[in-house]
Amino acid sequence: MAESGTPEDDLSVPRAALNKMIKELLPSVRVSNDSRELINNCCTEFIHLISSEANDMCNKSLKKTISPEHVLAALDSLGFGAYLEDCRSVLEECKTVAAKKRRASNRLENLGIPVEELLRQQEELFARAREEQAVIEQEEWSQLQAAQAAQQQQLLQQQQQQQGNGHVQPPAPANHAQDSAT
Amino acid sequence: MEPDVTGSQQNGEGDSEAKAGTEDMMNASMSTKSNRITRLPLTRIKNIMKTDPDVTLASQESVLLIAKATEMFLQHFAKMSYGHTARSKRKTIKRQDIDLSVEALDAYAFLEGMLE
Repeated sequence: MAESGTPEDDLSVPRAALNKMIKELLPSVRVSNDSRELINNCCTEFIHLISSEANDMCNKSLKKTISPEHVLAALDSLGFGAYLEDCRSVLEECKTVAAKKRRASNRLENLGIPVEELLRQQEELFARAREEQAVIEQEEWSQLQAAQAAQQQQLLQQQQQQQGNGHVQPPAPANHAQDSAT
Repeated sequence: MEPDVTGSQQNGEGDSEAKAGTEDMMNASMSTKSNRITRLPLTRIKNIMKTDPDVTLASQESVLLIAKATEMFLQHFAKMSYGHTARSKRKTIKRQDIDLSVEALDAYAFLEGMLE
């Protein structure tokens, strides 16, 4: 998506998400438009506040990446300790989901047979299939050759009969039970 | 004429594609209505965090936590404001209700700059 034309500081929480949450919280309450705008900006400001404080905590702990612990500590130090309990349970939920996903992907990869073995078995099957195919083709070729040889023999016999009689005789019908005279 | 780009940059930016792909999936599953860990889109939250030049890297779980905390803040803030609305026997939350909420809590002092 093009980034031109959108100053970064225009970013805020999506208005629709906000409206929906307020609606669910206070169903029969109306909110003036400039109030909505203000609440939206306050949320954005809140995000800046927490991330800045969490960033400070992160720097103090000499780590490079802000971790959940930094966020929790930031909330506490800024007077939002009341949020900690719910945040912690969200964190637990998140870890459980992630662990489940890891287990699921592991199960798929470890059917008990290592990948190299599976590849080897696959190669064997391919080789066997190729051999069987080769045998079939060989047989078909042999049959073709035998048919051609038989045809040629018949033609030869017909020619010899013609020479022996001195005059043209109608060619003998193909007769597989013929004894070869010569 | 530049195309009309609204403030919504929801997809992965300069991160490596593979990482952005799995992240987006996790983000999507974390904030869809059916899973409901949080209602706010994690990518948007992360972008807002990034506008602070001092903030460098944040783990995905951290972004999630901040999203959840923001949700809680919104709910608390809105409820407090409505408290003033109801006391004035009105049905519409107005600026004055919000102003009063900001002044009522020490923790909300950071918002004073936002009111005229």
